[in-house]
Amino acid sequence: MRKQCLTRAFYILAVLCFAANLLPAQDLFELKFTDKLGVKYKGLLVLFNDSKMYMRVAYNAENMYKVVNVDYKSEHGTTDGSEYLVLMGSNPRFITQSGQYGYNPDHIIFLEKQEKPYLTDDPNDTSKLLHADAFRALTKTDITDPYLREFYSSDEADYKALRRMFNLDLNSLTLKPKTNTNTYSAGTTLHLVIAANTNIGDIGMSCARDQASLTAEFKGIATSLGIGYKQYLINGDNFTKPAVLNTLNTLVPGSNDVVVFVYRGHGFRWNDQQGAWPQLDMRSSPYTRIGENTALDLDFVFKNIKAKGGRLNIVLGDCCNSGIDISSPLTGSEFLAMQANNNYNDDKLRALFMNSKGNLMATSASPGEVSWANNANGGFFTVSFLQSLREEISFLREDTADWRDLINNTVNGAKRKSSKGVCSNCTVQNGIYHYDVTPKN
Amino acid sequence: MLKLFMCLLSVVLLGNKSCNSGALGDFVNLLKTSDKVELFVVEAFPTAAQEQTLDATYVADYKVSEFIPTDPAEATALTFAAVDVKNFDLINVKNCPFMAKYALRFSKGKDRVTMVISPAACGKARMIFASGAKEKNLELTPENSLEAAIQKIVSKQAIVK
Repeated sequence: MRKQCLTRAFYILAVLCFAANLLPAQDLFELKFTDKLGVKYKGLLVLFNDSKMYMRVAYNAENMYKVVNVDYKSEHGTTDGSEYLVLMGSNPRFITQSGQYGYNPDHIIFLEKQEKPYLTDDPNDTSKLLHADAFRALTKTDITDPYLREFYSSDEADYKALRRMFNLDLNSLTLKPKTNTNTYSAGTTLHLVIAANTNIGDIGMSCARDQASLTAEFKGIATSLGIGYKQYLINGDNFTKPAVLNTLNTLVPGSNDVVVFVYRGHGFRWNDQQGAWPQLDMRSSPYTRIGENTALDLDFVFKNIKAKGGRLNIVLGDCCNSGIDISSPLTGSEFLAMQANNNYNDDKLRALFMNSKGNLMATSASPGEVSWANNANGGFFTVSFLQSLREEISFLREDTADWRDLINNTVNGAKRKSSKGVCSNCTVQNGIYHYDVTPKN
Repeated sequence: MLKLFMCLLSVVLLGNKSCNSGALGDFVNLLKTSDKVELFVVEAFPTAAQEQTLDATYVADYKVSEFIPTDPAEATALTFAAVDVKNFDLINVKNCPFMAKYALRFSKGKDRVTMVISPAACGKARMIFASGAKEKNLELTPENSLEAAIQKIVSKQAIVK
């Protein structure tokens, strides 16, 4: 079913296969539809993050040009084995004059086997269902100032942010030249290490999805910053504990380098384990028994990387932290394919990766908890991390980029995705983190 | 309300015969029409064929620790629970290692399908055809009736002993 889904029109996949609670940040879509009276509507759907999205709907009525803002939240599920995604509209607010009539917010329904979404302003009445005329993801070339002005007034903050995001602010570039990135970037390399259990039957697909998203994102970040980039992938049949240890041994970051380690796979706790951090389950086959040769303590990875002396070290474990009935064998101490759209605010990116130093370790669940993934989209924690990263370096965000905000938003995002209101079968995952990052002198 | 609406939509727009009619795929028919249901307690990890010993019994490569007899009513309850889509999360998966504890073997003539259960907190199931050529991983929902049905039989067995 997933493969069938992947062959559908890309932009439909983008929304449909990616549950709205897992939607990527800051993507723009255009939706056109016609109501039963023949009035044509053009919507600009702005996905800021999984809890903030809105649509500007422009239309002509009462001899007036009207624009209304509708807030959206999402619900994702399956019916008869087919996935659906509903964006539920609320809080309509006129940007232009409202005229005599109000606006009933539309709910937008994406079904797996349908190319275009359906809309209704009454979910209890299927006779009010409309089929959209068109739906597409907007690219950089679509976004022009006249296009934005169809939906925004010139003094709105989001209008200005979108102009900056899409490089429409030529004046500001002239008045305020960009800082020469080379002065910040000389000799810096971003090392991305991903251990992803892409072969395992139950979560392999979600791990592969996360690996693709993470590599695209960090490669784009390195390019934007003008710094070196090295990636180390431990996956497939090579997903073993010796492979991770070997990679860590060969990893030699410079004193101004950034190291990012991400684990995506199964995780657990020994039944006599004291430490809070999970054991990484480095088995790609169910026939391999869990033991000393297959388990790796996330805390060990963190300490190992920290000791290498890189300027900034980020270690993330997206895995369960729930107990198994085995004692520690060790003594002592563990629908969208996410598109890297590269709409980065370089100043914020620099604040995070070039002007920070220290160490950050985080994992997706507290001791005793499981963490969750979606085979189409990836791990809730990894997806939340990427969303939070995008949000933190977004043009639409006004405050300074900060790792603590980013990791807090990651933990909260994964918690929200696993909450009953969003995922009825999930148990809530409460990520934990160790934070020791300061501004670089 | 939304789920009901989506269910109706799937019937109206997608032409489905009913809501959630085919979520478990090819395995369902054999489960529903099986003439024999067996329940086993098994080891946590499967054993590769070349490492299996003649003095032990294996179900879908999992070494059997104990055979739990079931009466017809219990077999029916297990079958109902095994084909009830409400017991399975078809979207989300837990990032925890599968630790088998029980195996249910459904047989019809020479056809067999085994459902290996990893109980809560890492509730998962693996459906394996006898040949091993086909396998399906499933996520068990919290408080699913399948684990409850197994637990009821196992508890009764413990009392009898």
